[in-house]
Amino acid sequence: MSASEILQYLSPRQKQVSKGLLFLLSGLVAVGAVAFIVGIQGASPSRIWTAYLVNFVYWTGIAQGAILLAVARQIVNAGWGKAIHRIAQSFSLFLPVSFLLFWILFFGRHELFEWVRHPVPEKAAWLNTPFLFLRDGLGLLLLFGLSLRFVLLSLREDLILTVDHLSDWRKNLYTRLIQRCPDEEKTKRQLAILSPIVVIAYAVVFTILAWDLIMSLDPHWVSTLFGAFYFVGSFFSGLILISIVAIFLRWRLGLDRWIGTSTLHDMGKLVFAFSIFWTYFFWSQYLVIWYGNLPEETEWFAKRQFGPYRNLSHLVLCLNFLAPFILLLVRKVKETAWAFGAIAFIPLIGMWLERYVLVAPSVLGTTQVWLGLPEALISLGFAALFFLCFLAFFRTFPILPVQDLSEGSSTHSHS
Amino acid sequence: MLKFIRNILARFDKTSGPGVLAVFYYVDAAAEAIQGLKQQGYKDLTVFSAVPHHSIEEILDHRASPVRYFTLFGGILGCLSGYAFTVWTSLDWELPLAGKPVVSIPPYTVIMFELTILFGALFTLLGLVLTARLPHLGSHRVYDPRFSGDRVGVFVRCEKGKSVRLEEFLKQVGAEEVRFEGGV
Repeated sequence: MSASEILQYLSPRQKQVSKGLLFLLSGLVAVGAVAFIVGIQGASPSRIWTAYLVNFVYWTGIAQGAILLAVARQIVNAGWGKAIHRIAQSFSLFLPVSFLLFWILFFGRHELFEWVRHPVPEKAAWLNTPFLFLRDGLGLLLLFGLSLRFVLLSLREDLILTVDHLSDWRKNLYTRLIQRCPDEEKTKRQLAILSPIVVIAYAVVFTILAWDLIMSLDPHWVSTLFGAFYFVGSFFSGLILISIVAIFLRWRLGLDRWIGTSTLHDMGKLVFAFSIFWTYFFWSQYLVIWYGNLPEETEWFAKRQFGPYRNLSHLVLCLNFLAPFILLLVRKVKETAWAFGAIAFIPLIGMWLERYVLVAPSVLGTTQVWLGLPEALISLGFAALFFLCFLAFFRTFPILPVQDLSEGSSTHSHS
Repeated sequence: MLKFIRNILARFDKTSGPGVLAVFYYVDAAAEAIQGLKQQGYKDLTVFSAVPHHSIEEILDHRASPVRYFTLFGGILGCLSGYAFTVWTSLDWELPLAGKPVVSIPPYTVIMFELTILFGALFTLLGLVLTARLPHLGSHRVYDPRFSGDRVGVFVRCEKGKSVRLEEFLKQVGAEEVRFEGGV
């Protein structure tokens, strides 16, 4: 298929986003926002702020983790999975939104961070409000800026291919975006330089984010692996959502010829591998702390391993490791779209609960697990906001890398 | 007696003659040849190559190798052995340490993991040896040392009289060399 044939196939299908869906998602965002605003004025604002923080780290992790797959494909010049390259970038419009959502945390600092209420003198040089929001804000600005630049440069060829076929508002946008890119040769070079920088920025910024927003909730607890644990988990959840969206679009838009069985198999293997990798990171920290048996270290695990959080913690291990490991072991399952898609939801939920188990016991104590209507509403609001950003991308840009696919199909890209 | 066993084994061995062996320089030509052969109804095909070629694998469409079941079995056996061994040794010679339970699962997972890998690997090797019927006890086998280098070989089993058309076809799609192998 030539590039224009692919575009002709895609563009009418990508326009068919129903208004009803947009209204529904906008409504859910509003419901989530109302639940949040009412909640923080209610009896237990810290519970509401916890739900907010959990969803912030979860959805930001997914959006940025997903882009990392596209970055990794760019770095190794991957021949496989061409068709999912753009889907991996399609959550990128959530990044600017996430940047705004980050600043809202400033108003919840008293509820969330114990060290704001009771400063820890020996850690005050690092754990103080202005410095935390300054470094995290700058870090996110840098990481998101680099990531969006990566997406723009990566889109360039498709924009040029598409712009002549357009007559609506997108023509103007495309023209302006193309003007922001250098010529073809320079774009390639910039992509080659930018990609590894995004990876490094991802590791560094997400490590600091994990320290500041999650680990510091328990200001006396330290884990050197925690940053890596967070960004590996984010990459893992990014992979999961890419798979689910790819399978959904494949079914809805009839993309079978581009997202073939081998692509599904490859994504299945990646999800499988990163499920193990996530467990490996968890275990290598848990085991060391178990051996050392130092009260200031074990306390953090004890909060989650015993008491009301015990079942939830075990559930997280089952959803993120045991279930994907056993189910995705079979090749046929990974290659069967509906089966893989259904299984992918298990760790998607598991990763949300994982974030919850990381955050909640530190903020809310361990008298009981606070999972109920407020958490559900705020999570729905975040999810709706996330998918609105996705739909904005979906309506604006071709969801397949048209230029790349016009040269050869991804289903035979192994050799 | 040994000869008798060899002959029996050779019957099951796809790489003993008689048949036609074609040597290819280009992978694409080999793939095209295999595609053509399959369309003409030849099923007894063996391909030799130093490296895996996914394009050829797809065309050949062989069923998945049974070796993976050996690996799975070995892995599970290793995991269970690791568990049994650590628990048994701990109970056999009790050494209470740092107030921890005598049977403590967290550190045992390391042994369980290691033995999963070890047994999995050993059983994979065993499965490979068994399913490939190694070692071949001196029976004549179709092979060419160049297949360990940069050439791809395609071997088609057929009777002596019927090989002419086959040889012509293989030459036509770009085989460097085509020869008849007599077999046992």
